[in-house]
Amino acid sequence: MNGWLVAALVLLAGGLLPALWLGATGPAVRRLIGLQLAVVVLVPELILLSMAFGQSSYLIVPVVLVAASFAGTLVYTRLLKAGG
Amino acid sequence: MSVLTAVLVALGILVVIGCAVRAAAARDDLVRLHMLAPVTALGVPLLGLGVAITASWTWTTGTVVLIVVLLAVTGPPLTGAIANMIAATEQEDR
Amino acid sequence: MTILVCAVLVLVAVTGTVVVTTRDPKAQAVTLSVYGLVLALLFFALQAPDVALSQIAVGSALVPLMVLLAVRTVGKGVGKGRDAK
Repeated sequence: MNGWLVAALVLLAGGLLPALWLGATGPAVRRLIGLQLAVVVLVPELILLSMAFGQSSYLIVPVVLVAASFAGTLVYTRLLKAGG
Repeated sequence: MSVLTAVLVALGILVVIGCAVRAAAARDDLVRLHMLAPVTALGVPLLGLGVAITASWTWTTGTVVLIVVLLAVTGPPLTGAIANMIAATEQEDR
Repeated sequence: MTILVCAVLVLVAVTGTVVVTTRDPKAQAVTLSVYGLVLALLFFALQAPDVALSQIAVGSALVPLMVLLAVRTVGKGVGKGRDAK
């Protein structure tokens, strides 16, 4: 149990839980904000975890997460709006 | 982990947690949306700086800087797109 | 490490249940994406970053596109059926 892991656990409890709650209640628009918040919280969480594991090669995952979530959120804003 | 790194990482985590809690507690969707910006522009960069100081000039630092820059660049367009969608939805409701 | 894996496993279970109990297909699609993120975090916590990478690539870009296009097509089909009657 090192300092990075403690930081990751704190971020998991304090940051990811509100984001998940936001992403699981209300209409689709509010859930989309929750999804975006979850991505933004998950990126530092993954950085902290790869530091905790001591594996810098794991850092490719948050890079791909940022890029893929950009495309995914644009798809959502496009299709949810067009569908009414 | 040095003291400076610990302080920077702790500050970054505090900013992220504060914004997430306030976003969940807010009543208006636009107020929730405003809580995304401090995370991408302040919280994650602080944390990334802490990691960069520990790792010094290695690939770790390079990748973390790439992540921070990507997140800061993609944040505002996404916020704008979601805000447009909220505005369109509210107009339909009226 | 065990605490982390246990916590994320509980999150996966809770989020999956929420996806199943959601009624509106569009809201369900967004929550499905959130579920994909939590699943990716689980794979990452189990030190399988390659699996997490595939999960993120599929779950956050392809799934929303396919699900929302399917919902849209089904909705159009229902509308046409009513017009025909």
